[in-house]
Amino acid sequence: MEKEVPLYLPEGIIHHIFSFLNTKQRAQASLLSKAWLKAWRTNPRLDFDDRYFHQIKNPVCKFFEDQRNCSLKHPGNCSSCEEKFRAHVSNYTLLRKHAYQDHHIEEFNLSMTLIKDDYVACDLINTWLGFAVEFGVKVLQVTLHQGLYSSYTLAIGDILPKAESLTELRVKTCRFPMQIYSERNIMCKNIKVLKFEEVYITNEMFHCLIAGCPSINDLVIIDCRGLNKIELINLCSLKKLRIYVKNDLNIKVDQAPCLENVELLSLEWMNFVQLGTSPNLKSLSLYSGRCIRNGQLFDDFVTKFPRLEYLRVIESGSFAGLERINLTSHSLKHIHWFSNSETPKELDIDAPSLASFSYSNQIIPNLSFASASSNMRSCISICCPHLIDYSWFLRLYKLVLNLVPSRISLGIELPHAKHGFQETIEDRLIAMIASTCVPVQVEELKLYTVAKWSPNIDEHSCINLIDGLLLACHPKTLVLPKTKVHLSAGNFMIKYLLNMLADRRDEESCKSTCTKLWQNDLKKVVIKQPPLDCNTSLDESVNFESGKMQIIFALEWDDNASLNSSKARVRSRYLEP
Amino acid sequence: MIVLNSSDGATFEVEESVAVQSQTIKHMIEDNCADTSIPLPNVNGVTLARVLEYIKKHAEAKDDEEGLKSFDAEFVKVDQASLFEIILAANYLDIKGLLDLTCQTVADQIKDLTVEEVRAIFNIMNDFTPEEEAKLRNDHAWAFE
Repeated sequence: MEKEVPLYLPEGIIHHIFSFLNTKQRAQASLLSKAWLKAWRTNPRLDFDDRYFHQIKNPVCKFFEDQRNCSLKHPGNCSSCEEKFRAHVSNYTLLRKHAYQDHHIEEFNLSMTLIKDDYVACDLINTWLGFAVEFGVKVLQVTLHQGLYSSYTLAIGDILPKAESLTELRVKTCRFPMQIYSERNIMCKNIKVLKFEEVYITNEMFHCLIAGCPSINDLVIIDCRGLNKIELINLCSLKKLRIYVKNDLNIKVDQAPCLENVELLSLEWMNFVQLGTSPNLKSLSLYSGRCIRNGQLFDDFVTKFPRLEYLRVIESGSFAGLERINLTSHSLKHIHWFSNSETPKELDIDAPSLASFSYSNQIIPNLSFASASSNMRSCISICCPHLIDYSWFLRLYKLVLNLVPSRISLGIELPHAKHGFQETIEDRLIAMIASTCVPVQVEELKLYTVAKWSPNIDEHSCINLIDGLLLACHPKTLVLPKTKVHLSAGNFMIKYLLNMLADRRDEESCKSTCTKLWQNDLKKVVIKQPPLDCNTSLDESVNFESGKMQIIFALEWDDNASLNSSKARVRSRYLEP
Repeated sequence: MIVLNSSDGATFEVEESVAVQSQTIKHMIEDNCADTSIPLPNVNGVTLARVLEYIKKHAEAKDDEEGLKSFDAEFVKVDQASLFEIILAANYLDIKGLLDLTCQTVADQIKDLTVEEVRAIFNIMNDFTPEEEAKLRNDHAWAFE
């Protein structure tokens, strides 16, 4: 047998292999041979994480776990583990400094736990960061777990001016100093990525810092106290911006010609948001915990954001926002609008390139689409109000009509117990709908309920609701709410539908007299899910798995009955503005 | 077409558009060192053939994510010695995708094994004295919990 040659790998390759291992695995691999140990000691990517030094099962160490989760204040002490960690980092950095000066550092990641008033640790961290900077670090990430007290102040005045090579700085749970005491301004011409999470930094400090980062590409600010007014002006390289604040968002962005992606989130209001012209903006996401009230945000997309493709607006508060929204854009491809209030009441959209439109709200808006095409997918979700009357159906019908010829998916959230008392739906409603509405073909009609609330609509009203919906639109797919109970225990709506549709399952029964007006138009019914044989009798004896069963029907309608027919005269009445 | 010569004299022909996935070859072409053929003294014939298999596949099926994933998974099912030959070749030829794939494979193997097992499988000679190794283990005790 051939003598096997012992493995020789150049150091650079061992470093590359290390990049696919975590800290612990690397430390183990350093024992393989002297070459691997040296590679470990000269690794350009350093990861120091104190979690490996705490034994999870040790209840005293659990304090540090909890500190990470910011749940405990004090006391507790497994300082021996933390000390071992700090000794490890100090030893490593000292050895590196003395024995391997020629080996630069690319990345330095530090994740450790501080307790209150841990000034010794603060000094140590500053020393380590200084070392990293001295060795040419490019990517610096510092995550401190400090519970409620962020006592560490990043030695920014010392670090940044010397950190010429720094391209990425990501910091979590630190404080920045209130001001810089040196005369020079901070100048970090190479910084491309800045991420501050739970950092305490004042407005002045932040703007001073940003002014010194002309190459910044990617800026992320998450929950930074002290920062309540942000102005980002003349940042020529800024491409991605993500700002998440707990309070009101006050931000002005201007002269950022490379901006492509903006994501703004506030748990409160979004009243002071000013976005200047951004010729390259592709994606804009706005989330407000309350609502958005500044109308000029949506003005003039054509000149301000000529390349915008993706717009997402989420207002999760039930406060009234803008009543009327007018969106005109040649480039928009996707619009996603979610609102939890009674606004907007009117939505005018002129977006010929739109491929998908998603809208979800409590109420049915007056929607006008200047240019819906058959390439577009519309996804509408509406909640049933506590009074369902003819005007509600009419508004729903008009909404769907305005979305033709796009492929429409209509979701109706059934009234549930949380809404309180539900008015019954009158019978004469059905006749009114039948006589005025020519049914619109839609891809999907989905009836659903919100997780834990069971529908509180009475049987008769439920039947009227379904009849009304099937008179207004003819869905190719009908999706019923997930049922948690045995069929026999009664989810009458499902039972009702199964019975109604069961009658249409074969040619023979299609010819028999129908009890419902919409049944006339129904040609064929197939149960898509669960896969049941057409001849299975759908009665109480069918036993569905609780919790997850969702019944889906595939329906085929008689084309003549729908909007494509000679009843176009009736149709034109509704298409007039 | 570019002609490549391995260390043991084998010749391979490959399209230039495919060959430039190797930054090394790309620079050689740009610097006009590729008149007749490109000599690759650091790569033997067998390994070069495998590397070319990789870059050809990645050139032709560029957009087929699923297909490439399964190709890559099969590609690295080789013996240790060959795997390391490919790593060295990918490093020398500067083919990022191949280097990442092969190093990730080695890393995945290392992850689950003990130090002794890794030494055995990868044929790594233990050049520590018992005292040195014991001290190291002690210093790195935290990694062995």
